[in-house]
Amino acid sequence: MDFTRYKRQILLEELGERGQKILSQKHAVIIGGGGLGSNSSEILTRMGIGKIDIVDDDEIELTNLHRTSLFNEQDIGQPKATILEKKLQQINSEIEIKGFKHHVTKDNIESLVKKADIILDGTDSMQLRYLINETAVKHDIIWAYAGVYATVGMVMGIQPTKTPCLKCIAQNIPDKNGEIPVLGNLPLTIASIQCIETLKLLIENESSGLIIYDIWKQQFEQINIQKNPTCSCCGKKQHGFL
Amino acid sequence: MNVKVKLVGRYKEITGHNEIELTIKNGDTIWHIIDIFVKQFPKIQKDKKFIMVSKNNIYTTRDATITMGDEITLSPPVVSGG
Repeated sequence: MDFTRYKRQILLEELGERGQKILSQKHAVIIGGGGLGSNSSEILTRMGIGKIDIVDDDEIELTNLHRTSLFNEQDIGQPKATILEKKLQQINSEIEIKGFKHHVTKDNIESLVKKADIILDGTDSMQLRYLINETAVKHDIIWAYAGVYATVGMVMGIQPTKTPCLKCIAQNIPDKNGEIPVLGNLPLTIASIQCIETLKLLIENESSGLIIYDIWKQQFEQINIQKNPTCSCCGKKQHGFL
Repeated sequence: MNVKVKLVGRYKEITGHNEIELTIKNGDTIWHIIDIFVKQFPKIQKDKKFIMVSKNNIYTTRDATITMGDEITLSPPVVSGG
């Protein structure tokens, strides 16, 4: 495999040729192709993840354009998954990219992620995040939670057998009521942090705990937490969303 | 007894502290901590149901009891936008 395009990345001590080779053999499934998912899919495409699936049921709207650089005015009305597949493949033709225009439900999520080495959260629904969490725990698939609100973003790399799962840290999660405020470049910043966690999970089998970043205040917090042995999802294996 | 409660994110700004001390009874639960916290800082009321609470670095349920020396951390709810 020719790694010429990754030459500057391979120079990194944290990656090297070994790390790049690992990335080239991995399969990431990104659920959601909006602010977070479009940005994380572009970052992973450029970094050289071998296979990327993007699952999203929506079409591109004018209101999406302020928080992603991949979509433009000509794309409005087109399916996000289709446009992402096309544009990302133009960025890196050496990897395999597929866009799936699907609504992710409990009936199809297992088939969508069964071959994934990692799932990336690009959704805007907490119900769907719980579904991803339960699927990841059930099938022992690592995943990277990410969420944004106003100027604050959160990221957590989750290894079901090793780290807390999403349910460990949040038993009750507020879902959005209508449209939420989001500063334009926050999803890109949080997607970038999410992709770093993805690399660490894939290459080093490590995660950084819960990361909270306020981009307006430039405040970064990293919270190291332990698995909750009484967690209904990863502890008691109760999967109410699946 | 007094219990030290560490604060995360915007809770530091709302309270003006990185850590506060709350007075509870031995055997009180996380619910009591949250009740007292929200009463002292009413701006946090809307988060009440969703505040993330860890006890000794393990995120825990509301019915967990507090004993002397426990380290409690209160974090704002998980954010859900994409």
